[in-house]
Amino acid sequence: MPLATHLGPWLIGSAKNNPANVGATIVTQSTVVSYLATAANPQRVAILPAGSQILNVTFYLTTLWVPGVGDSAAFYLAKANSSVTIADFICESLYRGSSGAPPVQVVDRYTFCDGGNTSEWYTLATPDTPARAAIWANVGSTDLPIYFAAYGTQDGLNPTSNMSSGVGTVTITYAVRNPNGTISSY
Amino acid sequence: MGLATHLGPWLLGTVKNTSVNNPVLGQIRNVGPTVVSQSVSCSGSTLTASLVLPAGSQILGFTFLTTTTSAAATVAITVGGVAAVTATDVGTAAGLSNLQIATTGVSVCNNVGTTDVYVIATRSNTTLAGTMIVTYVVRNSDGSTVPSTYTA
Repeated sequence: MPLATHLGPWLIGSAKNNPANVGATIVTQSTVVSYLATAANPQRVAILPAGSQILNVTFYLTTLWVPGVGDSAAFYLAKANSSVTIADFICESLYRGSSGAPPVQVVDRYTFCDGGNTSEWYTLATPDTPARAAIWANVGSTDLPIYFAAYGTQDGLNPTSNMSSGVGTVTITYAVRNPNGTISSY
Repeated sequence: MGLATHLGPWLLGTVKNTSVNNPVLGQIRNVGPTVVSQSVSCSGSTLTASLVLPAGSQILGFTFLTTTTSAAATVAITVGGVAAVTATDVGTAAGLSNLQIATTGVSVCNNVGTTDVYVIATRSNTTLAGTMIVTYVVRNSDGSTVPSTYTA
């Protein structure tokens, strides 16, 4: 049963032209992540095609994440600054105060594994700021890399330790559209 | 307008392969497998209803659409015999209920395994009626979505 690939949006419905009733197909990108993805060295988990619309981000926590003693575990997803190549992790500046524009987060920091749970399921909430909502609504006119990082924190914001273990899967669900965000084909 | 069927994962995006040297956006693989759903009616005298997911699938969520209420009636769901959703009250009111994945179900939802699996919904009584909807990603039977020839 081979993989089949279609490049470009894929519309499904029963009427293509006015009044059209077709919709863009929903797809996912999914990546296994580990504690080695830190705030200083985040892991790229997806490249979303230009014009995509993010619908959901799901985190499957399969192995306990262990931060430093007294810290809570947290992670975030961020988009890279469009002016920076993918080899540079601009996310670092968000926490170290170094030069360069901080990345715009696409989901909030999210604490988990409270109470020593070894296995939890999380579906991350929709974006809670206008900036994040704008990214979810349309990732932009160029492909968008998404990064993941995990760390220990005292205040839910600033990293104070790295994880010593932890494995999970991040799945981003999105609609593939034209680079300008439209799905019109006529 | 007939049904069209494709057997196997279906990837969408605009870039299928990544340039080996000095990759830049627009030259980096950005395809993802499509999301699909199956649903099954849960009604009548039999308390269980089932459907089958392809090997390697990743379950994104379970939804129960209650059409006939029954006070405090519940639905539980197993995937391949593993408890994925513990008994959840869906009978109190008509409408959609997004069912929470149990901790015991995380791994099997992340990857249902290398063979096709039954998803079985069990109602607590026959008065409750509705539809179970499973949303999932079709992938290779090993859970991958990347051809073996893919170069990162």
